[in-house]
Amino acid sequence: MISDRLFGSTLSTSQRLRGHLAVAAGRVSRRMLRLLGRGATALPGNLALRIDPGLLRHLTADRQVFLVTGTNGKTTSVRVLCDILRAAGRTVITNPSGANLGSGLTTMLIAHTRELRKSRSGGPPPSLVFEIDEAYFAKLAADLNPQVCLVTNFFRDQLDRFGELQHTRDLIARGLAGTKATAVLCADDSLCASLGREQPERSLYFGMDTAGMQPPAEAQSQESVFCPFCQTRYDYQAIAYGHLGAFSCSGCGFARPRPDLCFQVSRSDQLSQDLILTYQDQPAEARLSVPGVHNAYNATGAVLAALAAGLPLETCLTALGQVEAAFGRMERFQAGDREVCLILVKNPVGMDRALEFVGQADDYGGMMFLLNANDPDGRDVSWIWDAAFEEYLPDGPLAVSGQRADDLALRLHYAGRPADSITVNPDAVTLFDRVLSGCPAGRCLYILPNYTAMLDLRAHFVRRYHLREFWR
Amino acid sequence: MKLRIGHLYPDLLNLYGDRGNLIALRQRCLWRGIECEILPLSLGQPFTAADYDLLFLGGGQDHEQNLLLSDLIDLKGPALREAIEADLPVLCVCGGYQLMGRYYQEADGRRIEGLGVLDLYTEAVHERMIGDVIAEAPFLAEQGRDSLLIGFENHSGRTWLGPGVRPLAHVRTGHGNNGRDKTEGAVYKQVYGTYLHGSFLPKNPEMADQLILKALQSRHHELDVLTPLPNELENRARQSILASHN
Ligand SMILES: [Zn+2]
Repeated sequence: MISDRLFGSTLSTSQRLRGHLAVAAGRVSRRMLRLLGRGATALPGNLALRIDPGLLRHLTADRQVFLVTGTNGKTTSVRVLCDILRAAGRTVITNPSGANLGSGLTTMLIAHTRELRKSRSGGPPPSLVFEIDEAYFAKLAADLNPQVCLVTNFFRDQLDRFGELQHTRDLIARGLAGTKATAVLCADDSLCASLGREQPERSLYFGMDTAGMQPPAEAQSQESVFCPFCQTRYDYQAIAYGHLGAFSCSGCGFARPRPDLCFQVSRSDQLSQDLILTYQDQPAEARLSVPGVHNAYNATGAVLAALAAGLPLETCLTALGQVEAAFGRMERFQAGDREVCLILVKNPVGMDRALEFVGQADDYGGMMFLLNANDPDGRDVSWIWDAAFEEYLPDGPLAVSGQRADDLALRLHYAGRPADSITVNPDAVTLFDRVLSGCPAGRCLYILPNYTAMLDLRAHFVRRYHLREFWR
Repeated sequence: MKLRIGHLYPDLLNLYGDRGNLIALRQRCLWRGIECEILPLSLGQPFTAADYDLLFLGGGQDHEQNLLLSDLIDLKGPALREAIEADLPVLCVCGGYQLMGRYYQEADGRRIEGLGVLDLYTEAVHERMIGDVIAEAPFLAEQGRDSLLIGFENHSGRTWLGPGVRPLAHVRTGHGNNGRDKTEGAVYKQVYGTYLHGSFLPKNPEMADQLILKALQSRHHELDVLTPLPNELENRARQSILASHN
């Protein structure tokens, strides 16, 4: 007799049989791939889903499930949420490698059948935290039985893959409508906040305290933003960065909702920041061990998601101090007597934030950019022209690598840099060695790659500096 | 000497790094000691030809384009048409290029009227045309300039040219206007329309210089050439695209 602790008792015998068969096939293929030394993130799940297309729905039924989606900051938000859940004593099952399609999620669950069985037999229930690509959210949300859905924001990114931003927003609205989840939304992002209009009774908002924002005249916003309901141009009372801020529509009255949880940055350096988090009018202090305003947004969203699931605020605040930077999002390691800091950059706003951050670092010892144009990066690299290099680029020599190194070198040149101050080498490792040797001892070399460039270079660093593997 | 560029609808038409075209125009002026001023020209502002030497229109998201149609056609249209007939140089890219045509036909058959300065129309298709473009521009060859235009296209409209315009270029690699007749972009008087992003002008310095020269000549009749620039990184970026398609 097959144990039904994996699936619970509501399924029929044949459904359970099929489910176990699918899981077994997935586990075998996963073990073989790992024996071959490959990161098995998609294939085993694909195989299992082909045997049992209902597998995700059956495995997630009656469990505590969080979904995290949006264009930017998903990985960091997931990281913070997981740290909070662990601090609360929960076992967490999550997808750390950025495998956020159905196949990746299935692979992840297959790898954790032991923990999943334990909870059905009365052990501590594991929490499931899924990072979902915004393009797949509509398709996957209902199958994952979420209790809370965190939507981080909508920045323009990879338009060649997803079409318009409005379309992305509508996909997520459709996904949310198919669930019973509480939506945790960014109040300062108009498209994100607009999701709450369709389900006011189960929406919560996070944002920045307007006292910490800049007046709209001083903050330069690259894009003006229009009301999705009546197409009037928004008025901004204050701006956090990019299009995030306190907006209102003179056409239909839609405006930034009052945040249930808001943050203010009271101190920051390149390693951490101190936040004042105000929840239900009660301010509380917390240290977040990751820098950057965008990460303050990510962390605040994650805390509100945890609160929405009934976790205590105290636990959330403590956990923020122990957050590690998500892989490559802002990861530091030692390379001999120098440091290396990897910052993933994939769109103009991300580039501006990264450049601003690096420009303020007092341990700055050099800078290297990598630009690839594979499908996961978006093949159109034109976005580099929208980043404000003119404003934020630190002084001194610059190094550029990746498949589209020549495009990026040209961009830096048009930001006013003489051609002979820009070193171009398509071979990233060779260039890294050269730039690192030019970095003074005790200083930090900042590397800004886009997605696949980061994966390639990081794989090299894993071997050379014994960093943790990606899929573990 | 000073170049005054009117940037039409900078807050509405700003997709895919089109800003790079303005950065290129400005830098290529500054490197030559020519002043350059970029003047935003958005909704509600009337157009006065005497204020500008050159106009630029980028691409935008669809519903944003609908917002500006009446402003473009009714408020700015009459003065704009007159200036174009008097040889005002204009560069329009992607969505801006489509807007300068006679109409844009949606997938459901609905037609959106354009400014009608360029004798062309565009029809929406489902598949996007995405990828590198390499195209031969005869008008640059005629002036002894490097005649290859290089860029990246990303559009879902098919544009068909009428007899009132010439193609800007002929496609060697990529789709161009419609993926069928090998044409890319359109020229009428000093209006240049193209689907090329990438950004367009940084990677096509001869085209950038052609626009700068034409624009300056309207007030500086004595000017016949611009100081040459080294174009070292420009040519490298061009070569790497050309090499990847050999
Ligand atoms: Zn409105």
